[in-house]
Amino acid sequence: MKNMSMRRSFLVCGIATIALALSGCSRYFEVDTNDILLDKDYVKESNELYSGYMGVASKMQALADQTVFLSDLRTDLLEPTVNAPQDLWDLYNFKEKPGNSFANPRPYYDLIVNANAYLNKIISYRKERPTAVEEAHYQALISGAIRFKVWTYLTLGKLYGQVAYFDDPDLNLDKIGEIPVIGFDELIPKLIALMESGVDGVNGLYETNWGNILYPGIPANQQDLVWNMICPSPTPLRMELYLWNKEYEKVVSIGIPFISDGGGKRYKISNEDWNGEWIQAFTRDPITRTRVLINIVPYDFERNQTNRLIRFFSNEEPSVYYLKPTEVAMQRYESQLRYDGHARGDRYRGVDYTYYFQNGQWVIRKFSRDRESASEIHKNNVHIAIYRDSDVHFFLIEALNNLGRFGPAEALLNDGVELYLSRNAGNLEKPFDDPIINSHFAINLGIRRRVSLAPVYPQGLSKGDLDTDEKKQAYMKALDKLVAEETLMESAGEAKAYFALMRIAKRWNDPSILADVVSAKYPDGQKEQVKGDLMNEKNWFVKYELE
Amino acid sequence: MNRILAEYMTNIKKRGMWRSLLLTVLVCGVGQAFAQTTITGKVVSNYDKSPISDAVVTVLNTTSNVRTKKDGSFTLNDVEDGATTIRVWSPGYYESYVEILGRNTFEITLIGEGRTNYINIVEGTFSDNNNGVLSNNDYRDGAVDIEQVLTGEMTGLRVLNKSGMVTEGGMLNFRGVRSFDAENTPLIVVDGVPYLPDLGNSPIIGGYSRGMLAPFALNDIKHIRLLKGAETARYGSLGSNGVLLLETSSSDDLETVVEFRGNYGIAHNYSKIPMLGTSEYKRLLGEVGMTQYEDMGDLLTRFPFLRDDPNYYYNFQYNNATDWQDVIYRNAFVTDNHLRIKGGDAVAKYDLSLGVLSQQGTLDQTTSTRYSTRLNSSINLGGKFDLKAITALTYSTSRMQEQGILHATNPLLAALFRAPILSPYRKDVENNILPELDGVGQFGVSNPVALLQTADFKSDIYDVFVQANLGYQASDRFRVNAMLGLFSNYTRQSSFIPGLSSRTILPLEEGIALNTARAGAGQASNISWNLYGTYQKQWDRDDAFFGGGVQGLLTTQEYDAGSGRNTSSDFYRTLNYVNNDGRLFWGYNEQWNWMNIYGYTQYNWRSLAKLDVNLSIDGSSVSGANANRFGFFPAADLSFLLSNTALLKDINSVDNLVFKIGYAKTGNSRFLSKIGQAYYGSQLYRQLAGIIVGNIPNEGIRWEDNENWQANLIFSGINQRLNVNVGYYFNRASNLLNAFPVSPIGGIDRIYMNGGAIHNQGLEVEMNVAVIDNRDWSLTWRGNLSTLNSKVKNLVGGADMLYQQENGVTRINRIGESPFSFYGAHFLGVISSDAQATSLGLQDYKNRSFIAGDAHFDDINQDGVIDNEDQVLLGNSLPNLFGGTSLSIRYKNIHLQGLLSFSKGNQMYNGLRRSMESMDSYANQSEAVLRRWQTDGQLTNIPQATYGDPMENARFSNRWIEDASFLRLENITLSYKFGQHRLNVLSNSEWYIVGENLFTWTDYLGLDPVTAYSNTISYMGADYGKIPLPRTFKLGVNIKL
Repeated sequence: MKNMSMRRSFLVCGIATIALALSGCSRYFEVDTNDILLDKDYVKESNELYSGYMGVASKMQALADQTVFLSDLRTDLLEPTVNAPQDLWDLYNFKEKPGNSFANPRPYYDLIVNANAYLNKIISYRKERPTAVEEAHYQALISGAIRFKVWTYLTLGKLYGQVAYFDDPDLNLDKIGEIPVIGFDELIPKLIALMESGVDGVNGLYETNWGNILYPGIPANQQDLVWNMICPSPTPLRMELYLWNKEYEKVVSIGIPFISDGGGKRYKISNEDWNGEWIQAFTRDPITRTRVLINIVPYDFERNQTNRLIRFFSNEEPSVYYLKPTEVAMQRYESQLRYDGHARGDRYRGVDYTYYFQNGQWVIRKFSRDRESASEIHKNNVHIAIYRDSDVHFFLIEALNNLGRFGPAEALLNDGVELYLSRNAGNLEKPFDDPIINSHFAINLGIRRRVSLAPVYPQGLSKGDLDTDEKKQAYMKALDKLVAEETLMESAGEAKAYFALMRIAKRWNDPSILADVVSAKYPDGQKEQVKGDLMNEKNWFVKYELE
Repeated sequence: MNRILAEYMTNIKKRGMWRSLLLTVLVCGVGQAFAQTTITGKVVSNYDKSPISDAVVTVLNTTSNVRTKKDGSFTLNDVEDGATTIRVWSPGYYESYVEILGRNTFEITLIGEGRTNYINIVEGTFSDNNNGVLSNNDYRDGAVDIEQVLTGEMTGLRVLNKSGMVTEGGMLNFRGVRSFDAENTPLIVVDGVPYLPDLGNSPIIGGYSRGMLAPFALNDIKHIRLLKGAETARYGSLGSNGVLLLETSSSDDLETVVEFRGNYGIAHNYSKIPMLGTSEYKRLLGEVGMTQYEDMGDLLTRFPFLRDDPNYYYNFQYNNATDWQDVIYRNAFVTDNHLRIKGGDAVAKYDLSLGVLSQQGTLDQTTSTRYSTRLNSSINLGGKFDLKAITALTYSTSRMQEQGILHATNPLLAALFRAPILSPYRKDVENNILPELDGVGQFGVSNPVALLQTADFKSDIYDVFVQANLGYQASDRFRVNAMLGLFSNYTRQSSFIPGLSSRTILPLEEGIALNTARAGAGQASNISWNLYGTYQKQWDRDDAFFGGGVQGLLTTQEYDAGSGRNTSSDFYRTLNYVNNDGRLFWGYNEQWNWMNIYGYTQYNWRSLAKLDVNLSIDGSSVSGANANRFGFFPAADLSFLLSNTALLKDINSVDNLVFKIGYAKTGNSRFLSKIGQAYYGSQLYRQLAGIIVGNIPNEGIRWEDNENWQANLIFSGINQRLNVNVGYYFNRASNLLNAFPVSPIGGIDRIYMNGGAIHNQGLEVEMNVAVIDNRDWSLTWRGNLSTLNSKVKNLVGGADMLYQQENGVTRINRIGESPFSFYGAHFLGVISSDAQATSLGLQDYKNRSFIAGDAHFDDINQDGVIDNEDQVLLGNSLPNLFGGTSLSIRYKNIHLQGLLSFSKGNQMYNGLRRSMESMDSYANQSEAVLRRWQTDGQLTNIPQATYGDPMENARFSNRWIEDASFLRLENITLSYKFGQHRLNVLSNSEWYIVGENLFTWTDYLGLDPVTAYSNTISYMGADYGKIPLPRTFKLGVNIKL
């Protein structure tokens, strides 16, 4: 009997212990370390919304240099050196294999995943606590997140020709397989719609002064100004979207006021950034170059935020010198006619500026100038421009050209608005038929004159002789090609020129516009093969399986 | 596997003999009960069959108790029904237990205490327990760590000494690879408490990971037991890699005993790589230089000594012939001292120990001292309560150096690379040596002496163990315990690599860091608890032991570290002086919790069959929100005690014959809890913190499954002189964590999923043979051998998984192949001539052609381009066969014993040799490069010397994968044991000399075929230039007062 009762008590004790243990289980097994923020705990305080926004923004650091390598290796600017890893050589040879680390679009989707999650978090938080975030801040945060997402999708589309489009904030493995993949042509209207309609009643057009949000009540200092530059601005982004969507009038109608800047000195291709000063935009502190730079991705070496531009381009140790300028690209600069009409060579963008002969080798110097000393070269935190003055100019030039307003287009491309006004007095075309606009643009030098180069015009065609639509179209196409050509020089290494080539080749349904340029850098045997491949539009894009 | 088991059982059925034997067992066993009342017998010595008088003979669980007469005989009258076992004990002999089995006449042979590893015979491998057991009586004299005594001792357990850097210990692996990404090391349980230390490599000291058992003084460990069968299931999802039970020393009786163990020895390095001499080095230097400089003048400007100019002013700097390998090593003094006092009274017993282990490394200036103390006490609290309390504290302080392929800071690499024409110290023009160390100069190689003398790599580690176990003896048979244990480790490591002022050490971080400071502190703690009860029950002739309880473990690990560079002078060595540029802080914080409800029974059916059943329900924090939290882990071992059957029980020469089969289901939840959690991380954007998505959680993540089937035939006979255990196991590890490549759409590269599978199987044979066993002479041979066949059977998605590791090593997990196989280019030789180069027409992906003198790699895909598409399997690091064997000879009180360990079929990546044969810089190289290709048509297997190796002739390929099979003479010990002596201090003392790591037979070309880069299984078989294990000679004494 004693044994029986003992057994019973043992059983009871045991079961009680187990029950107690299991009831406390859920908490027992919850681990919450100090280096993560559990999904259920985010957002608890409104200041986390600002941190969340910065989290989305920080993802730009990972993809900005990749965009440069992917796109400019596909123009005629770059070729890999013998130091370069196979992945870069494969890209150069249009043979990227699955797993190519440079071709992997993961960093772009990482930003999109973060933007989607963030938008969901902020909207949910606001619903629960309608007064916790100021309306102005709320709009700025959402609008900024939208633009990060739109810019990233646009870049993805340009690089890969297709994207997996999704807004789902809670991605899981099953859902990933179900996301629809859409083509570039389908993507652009979606992005335009997102910019214009937005989410939760906030569109992508809202901007704010981040100094007031991040450091309220403290006078704007240099730090604050950079925060205003980190997110793609609505206007350049929309200009690019509309340009891809062939809505040229819209490009002009939003572009001109943007560049006018209410009479300010920003974004004018002005005489204040005359010739040699041009190069400073790429290496000097960005807040001293706000006339040129619109949006940038900043880095901070002291906080271990770097990019690979100098590292890959320079041959000064400890740089690795993976990519170098091609002969054809350098020759393009060398063959330019200067503004004096006699000398040849792009004196302010060519040798010693965009590229340079150093340690017995040609290197891309655009981003390492001012940083070549042993104490600076390793820092690798030069900022990367998302949009700058010349980009919006090129957008405008392209749009004006395709609207048939060749005069203004050529003015912006060549020698500036002031000369256009004086040469065409009484016969001014839009948008330079408005005295207020004209007064704002008076300091514009034009892309080429800023670097002391002679104007270029479509060869064999005259503006005064465009009596038929065919001639007009021919002039338009030729001017487009000049724009592409100019972009190759002006925006070398800025992830712009390849997209201009694509856009223009696509617009004229003439792949040779792109194929001719790109194939020129390859050795003779390979040249024809590359050209042949690029005559098929599908081969323009980086190949990477999304499955 | 079910199929295999079924076939196996079918085979058994086919054998009528087995069936009839089993039937006989049952029938005879039942038929011969209830008859005994008087038992007679004789107790004799194993030495010469002489009778043993005054031996105590007891019938267990009864009051029957007699002593033997002068002729060794005894008579036990009125033995109660139900008595099952006789116990016999006499001084100088091991206690013996004999099953009665209905017999009434016995001749019982007692085994003298001189027999080695006897515990393994009575309760280990050669018993129905089938567990490897090692007791402190059988530890090798002079051994200082647990890994050392385990090496080559237990079937299935592979112990790989990591290096000759003190305190690195060994890497443990049980029966192959059982997981890709979760822990692969056996679970260590110390005094019933799971012990989960931080096993990672030090983030502060390159290539260093502390031995996982380093906190324990070997002399504090009483028993080491390796669980392989059903008992592992008691630990549920911790048991898949085997369980190593450590039991610490405790006082067994009331007598006060003082023990001192000390050994003192010298360690020296004997493993060297033959390097080029001065003239050969200069020739190579010139050859490499001509491939960098087009102009000979430039080369001579950099290396002016290449001119044959006796009047060159600076010749005194380059006229040396230094053997750098001699310079960095020393004869090192090693000593281990351990004092124990134990005793007590009826109320409290104690066991207090103090130990100091001081080891100099053979690498000059490296040293480690460990101070340890442990107090194990058991207290009778009155009534039915008792308390066992354990407190142990270990403090280790060490000075290390970096290891691994770290060209600037590994003194071994620096010594091999350093030009022999240089001197360690600067000299004046008169050739007098100055006190200042020589600099890096134009050679790009650190001065190894500067590393040893001026670089700091310090480690200070505290380990605390506290355990309280409160017991309640409810009745004779029923006992309840409540146990609480704490293990806490605090590690602080720091390093400083000078160079800014001295210019003697190559800058790090691609030349930016002229000096470097690092410091980190980590804490790991395990809080464990266990509420359990045991109950014994006897029936007439059967007995059973029941146990069960609830146990749990709460673990945390945190590490915080910082590093920086370029303090204003090498004099300033702390982090607060480093530059803002390059400051880096990092760390991790992990928590992992576990709970396990377990029950077990050991049922003995008439001493003819034993059934051990273990069940546990187990949950841990790794399970995702959508996965089951708890898993069920059943296991059973069934032993047929054939020697107790009527057929065999009267055959004196058969002491034990057991056929044992078992199945155990365990799991592995030893991986990060965060995988299944949805969380956000942090990323700085300039100076502001950003919150970022941390992962795409796999909320279905769960523990890994592991199923083990095994069968053993265990024999012990001829007075336990011939002992054999032959076993076979098949292990199926499934639902393994598998880093599945995710579509880039997810924004991440990989997601962990359950789904991988690995099968391991092997044959295990262990023997212990007392060839001669008499009073004056004995000769015992022991040996164990394990085969291993490990294959990946499944991967999520089926695609290969590639792992990029240090030094360009690639490993692959591919279905059908061994886990973590090497994967790289296939080197076929050297292209001997231009004609051959032309006919091959091979290029690299940079469109450059392989010419005569370049490596000839196999163009696997036949596209004419040698690139990453041409990688193939190159072998794997798991052995086909491994084990150990020892011989022990005794003449009276003099013992001579030695142990060999061996491994066969394991491949090793010889990264060190790759560094020594690449010929891509101005570093010195091994003598092998004398065979380098130099002239057209030359047939050789060493390519030409080229600066920078542009064609990547030295790329990761089978050229660097070697067979690292070895046979190592681990030790030879000569000892003398005193009996009673007029000098009290000598009584019962043992004095010995021992030589350790005496010789290694191997074809491996590296310094040591036994090396491990870390505790991680995926790095097994990587020789990244670690310090070889030295040869050691020691003199030691064990005194017992």
